[in-house]
Amino acid sequence: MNFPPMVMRLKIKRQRRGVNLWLPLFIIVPITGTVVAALFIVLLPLLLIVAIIRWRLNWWRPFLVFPAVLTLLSASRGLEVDINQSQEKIYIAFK
Amino acid sequence: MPENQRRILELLKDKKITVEEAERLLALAGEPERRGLPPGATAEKKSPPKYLRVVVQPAEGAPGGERVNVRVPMNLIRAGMKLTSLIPPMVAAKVQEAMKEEGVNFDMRNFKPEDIEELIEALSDMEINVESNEHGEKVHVFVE
Repeated sequence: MNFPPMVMRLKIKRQRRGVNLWLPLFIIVPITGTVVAALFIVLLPLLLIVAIIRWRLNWWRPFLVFPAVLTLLSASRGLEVDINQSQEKIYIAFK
Repeated sequence: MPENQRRILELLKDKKITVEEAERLLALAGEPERRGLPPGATAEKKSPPKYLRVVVQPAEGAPGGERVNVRVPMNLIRAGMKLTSLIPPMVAAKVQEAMKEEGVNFDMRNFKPEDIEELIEALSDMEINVESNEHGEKVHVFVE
């Protein structure tokens, strides 16, 4: 079983300015998930009407994106990208 | 004399294999013993790789060289490969066409989960080292 990442580290440094963030995914992901699920439920009648009007096979396929995003997010634990140039630095890590 | 070596010598005697082939086979047959393993035993199975690493290092002493260090979990590769089934058929056909134009004749949709496992297992022996003559940059791709 893959445990989803708890924290996303984002570090961008350009000359003297820079951003250094620790994003607590264990808080952000459940909140975003709840909001998306609530929106989905609210918009479901509208989506069904659109699906009936513009009827086509596999109309439900776009909804598979949500579990796909969650799967990718769960699997991203350990991903690390570190790019260093003379005065620029980008560091992204899922921990 | 172990059974494998005897069989190889018999094949050589019957002229079914050449001397070079026999040499190579004997070397392979004697390998477990050299590693301190009992004859017939195979080496311990390696644990599956966990990360794919790409490291780019600039030439020594080169000013402003770019350093890249990427670590991709194998689970992410697995998940990504499985998600190719979500690509709409029209888009997949376009991607396939574009890849073919670039000389990559490979259909991702034909990939099955067992193929992914086999591919990842095969990656454990992979190591790529590239050194640029022009800029002196070193690229190292490996798994760990």
